[in-house]
Amino acid sequence: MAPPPPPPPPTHLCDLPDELLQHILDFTPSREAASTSVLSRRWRGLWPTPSGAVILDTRSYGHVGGLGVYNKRRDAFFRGAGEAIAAAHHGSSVRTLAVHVDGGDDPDGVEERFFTYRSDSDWTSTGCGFHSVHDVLRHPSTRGVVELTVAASSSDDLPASAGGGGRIFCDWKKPFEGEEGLYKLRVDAVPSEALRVLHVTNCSGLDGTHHPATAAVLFPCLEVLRLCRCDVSLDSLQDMVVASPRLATLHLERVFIRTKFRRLVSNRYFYQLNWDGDDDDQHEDYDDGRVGTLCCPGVTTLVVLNCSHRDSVTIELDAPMVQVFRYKGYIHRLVLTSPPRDVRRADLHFLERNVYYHTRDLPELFWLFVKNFSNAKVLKLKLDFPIGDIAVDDKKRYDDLMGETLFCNLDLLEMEGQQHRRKRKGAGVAIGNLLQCCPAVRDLRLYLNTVKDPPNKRRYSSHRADSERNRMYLDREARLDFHRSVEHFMRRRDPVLSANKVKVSDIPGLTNKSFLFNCLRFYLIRVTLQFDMDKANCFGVQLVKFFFEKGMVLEEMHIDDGNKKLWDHMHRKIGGSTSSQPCSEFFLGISKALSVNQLNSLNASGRISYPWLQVSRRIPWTTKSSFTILPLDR
Amino acid sequence: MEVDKGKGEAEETRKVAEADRDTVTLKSSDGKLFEVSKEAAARLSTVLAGMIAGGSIDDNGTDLKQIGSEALENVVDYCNKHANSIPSAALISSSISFNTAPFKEPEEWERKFVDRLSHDALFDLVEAANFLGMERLLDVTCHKISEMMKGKSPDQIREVFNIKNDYTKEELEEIRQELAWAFYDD
Repeated sequence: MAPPPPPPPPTHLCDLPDELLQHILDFTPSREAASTSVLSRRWRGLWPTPSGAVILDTRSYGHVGGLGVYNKRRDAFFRGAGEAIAAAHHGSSVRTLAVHVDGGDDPDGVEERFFTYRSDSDWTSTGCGFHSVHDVLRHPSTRGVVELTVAASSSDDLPASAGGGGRIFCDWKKPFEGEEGLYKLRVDAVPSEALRVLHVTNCSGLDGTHHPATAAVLFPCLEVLRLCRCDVSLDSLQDMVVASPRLATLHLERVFIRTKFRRLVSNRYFYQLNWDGDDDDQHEDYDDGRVGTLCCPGVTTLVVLNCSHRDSVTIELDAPMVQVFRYKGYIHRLVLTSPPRDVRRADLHFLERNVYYHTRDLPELFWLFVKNFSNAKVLKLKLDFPIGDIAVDDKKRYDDLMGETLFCNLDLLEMEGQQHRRKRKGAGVAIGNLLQCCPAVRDLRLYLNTVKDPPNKRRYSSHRADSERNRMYLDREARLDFHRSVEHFMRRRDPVLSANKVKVSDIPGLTNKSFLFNCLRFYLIRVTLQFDMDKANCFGVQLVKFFFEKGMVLEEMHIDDGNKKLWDHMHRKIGGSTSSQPCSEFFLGISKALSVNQLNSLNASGRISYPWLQVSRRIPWTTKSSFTILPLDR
Repeated sequence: MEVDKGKGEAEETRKVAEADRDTVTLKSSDGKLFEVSKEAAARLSTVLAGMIAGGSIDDNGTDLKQIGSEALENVVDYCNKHANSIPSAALISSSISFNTAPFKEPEEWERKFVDRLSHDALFDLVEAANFLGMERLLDVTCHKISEMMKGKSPDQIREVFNIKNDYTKEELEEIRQELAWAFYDD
């Protein structure tokens, strides 16, 4: 490839070629995009762009009419919508359509002013064009839309939602408890012929999904369905999935799944008559203990984040074809009916256990959940509670739970969780349980956040405050620790610690005789450890020792002691003449753990400025006699 | 083997390890060298993927005469961030990503990555991403620029990007008539 001679470096937006400027306009709300044609001659004729993107955003009209004059703004929005769609349709055809309605300080007005559905509204007879977003969606010019986003926001939302061109960015920590959403979306108004991607945000219900009359497929091409911060009924969700035979990705984020069970099967007529109304209370008594199923036969990527439903019911998920699965939520909230056969990757993030569940049940819930993904190649686990809570100490109990299940294909195992300083045995057993069921894991990553001590009584009401306090506490601890460490370093000529007094012990539980670790003998080549270093004989250093002694084929160990500072100090110290009085606890711990007297630290050249340890050991039956310890790159 | 390893020996081991490391060296128009993970480069850039597959990668630095050192540094930075430090979805050992939609909004780290850039650096990066066929980076950077236009009047946009109005009054009036809806109650 012979590149042409270099042009002078562009430093101005107008210097970018047409197609790049148009690519920028494809992310810009249509009103602003259209108005760029008056910027200068350079910008004339760039919009509408060939890609056929139309982004309708009420915030483009935020200044129209002044404060509180909603109707004028609304009319301007719909007029602009009509013109933008007509212009884009004239250019090519509308392929991407995004509608974002911002309710501002009047969230109730979103539904009333922008989403009121009228099946008889006629967009040709009125000069203004549209009366509702549904009219926009039903317009013939939008029939060929491939990607559709419908979103709403209000000033009650978190500020993060202000980002994204018509797409809401949402990240909330706890599951959504329902009773929200700003509008009802009529699914039968959505242009369905060519639609491949549908994103719906902040919606309080999907209506018109179920048509007894039209049994035909509604969305012949739909591949991706993404609901964010919505409140939908299980039935409408199921109808959507059934109506989309090519659906491959189902993404549910902060979705409250509403369940309404029929009183009697024969009472179907009564049920359908009422199914649009807000008649939850009427049915509530009949819901207790019922089981609902969401069946996603063709879905290969399933994302369920912070979703919830009424506690008295159970929702089962049947997704036999799933390959990539991501879950965040309470551990008991999801039941998978059939283990997916071909799952490749699972990311599971379990929130702090719920008030209804005792610690005793937790291991059962955890292992039964995780067992579903025994075919995975990549398994990532994140626990918002101590990892010791999932430990199964009793071999018989473990066998009862797991049976013959082994994660034979698992290549990468990642575990993030808390670890109590005093409860080492539980954490050790938990890690032992994990290693035992993953016989061929090659890459292991453990991220442990040390929590000082388990509180005597869990105060279930104030989880959030607790964790916040913990974090503040840890921050403070880290700072103090840092100062102490710096002080040590400044006075490094003094023998700070006596190396002989420290002994790194084995981890109770992990070195149990009942564990047989196949992976450590033949497969595990890389270990990543992150922990909070408090003293030389801490859990993290014990883990280093454990993997050093038992990992027969280990090649690399990545270690992060919490804040990297110790690495810096260690590096300076070891770089010079070796001393029997190492300057930091970390070095002391590691050297004790590895039972070597001296570590060679190198400063790798180039962009990596961290020290690098080369450690050798004598194990006669392995080919590798040395391996590398690297600081974890964060 | 000795437990106490000599420094020289360890140095040697390091060199071997570096040679094994899967990186590509890229050279900017002003001759600066940058190293980037081969895997990330191939995954994120169609052009680099083609060069790697076609064997036109030079060990002493593949010439990218179109790209200045500042932009190339950002490109390399982006690739390395993608390869190493995505906390939520480390894609290291698996190419399966959750980004199945044509464009999902930028992730948190991508936002931060573009937010710290100056205008000039951002435009240069758009060009570089386009030249290297880096679709995701192009989307993220263009999205950032579009956010700067959002909710602004033409005058404000001109001000932000320092665009000079070279229309005559009559021409301007004509366009405004044509696109009256976009200037409604302006």
